[in-house]
Amino acid sequence: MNQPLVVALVAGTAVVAAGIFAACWSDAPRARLASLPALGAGAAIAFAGVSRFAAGSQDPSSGQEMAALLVVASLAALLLGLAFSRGHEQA
Amino acid sequence: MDTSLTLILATCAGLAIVGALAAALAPDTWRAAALLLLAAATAGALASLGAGFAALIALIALGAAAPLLAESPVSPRGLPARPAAVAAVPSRRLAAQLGAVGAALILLLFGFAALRVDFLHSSYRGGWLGTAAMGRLLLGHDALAADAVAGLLFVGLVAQTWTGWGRR
Repeated sequence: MNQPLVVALVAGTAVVAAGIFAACWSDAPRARLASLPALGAGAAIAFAGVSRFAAGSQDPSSGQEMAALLVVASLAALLLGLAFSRGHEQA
Repeated sequence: MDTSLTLILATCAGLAIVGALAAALAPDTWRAAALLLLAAATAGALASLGAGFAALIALIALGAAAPLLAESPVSPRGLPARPAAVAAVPSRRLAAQLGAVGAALILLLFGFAALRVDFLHSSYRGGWLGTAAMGRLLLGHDALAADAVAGLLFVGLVAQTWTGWGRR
């Protein structure tokens, strides 16, 4: 495994780990929901790094595409989580 | 990948970690700023990896999460968080009127462009963002994945609208 790929993977994994820590640490629902963008961001960094530096990469744009889809999916999950939280508060 | 790009990637990743941790550990008033830091740092990391299109999308999508989590219209006990909610109505009405005027101006601009402006006849390769390749992937090769994410985003927006409507 070459050095830049390791750097990108470690960076993405560290952001994901920070998101998991944030999700587990706080009891407040909004603070837990704030970890969703971090999880998506970390996974996006890892995908973009693998797409650029992986030796067997046939399509260099696929990782960038997955990164874009992941951050949008994390925003959608955040919207759903906020809606569920608000519905639970109203009930 | 040279040393400077590695340093930029590591710095942006570190800032993203700080933003993610601050969003959960810092006081609620700092959450929006922490999420904006996370969005900017993620966009920087993706841009340093040569993913300009993903960086732009990350800046928009993760930046949109900041106002969503910053403003708390409902308190944890289900009561309105703003006691002066009635006083906020005129400002919202003004914002809606400004938005309507802006939409009308955009409509006029597009109408003028459609009627009077001609397109430049040259080959467009997608620019430095790689939008041509990303468009081929998102709208052609992996259209089902883009549709699935768009559907998820649509369901989230509908759920937000539904719960907000019930709150009023």
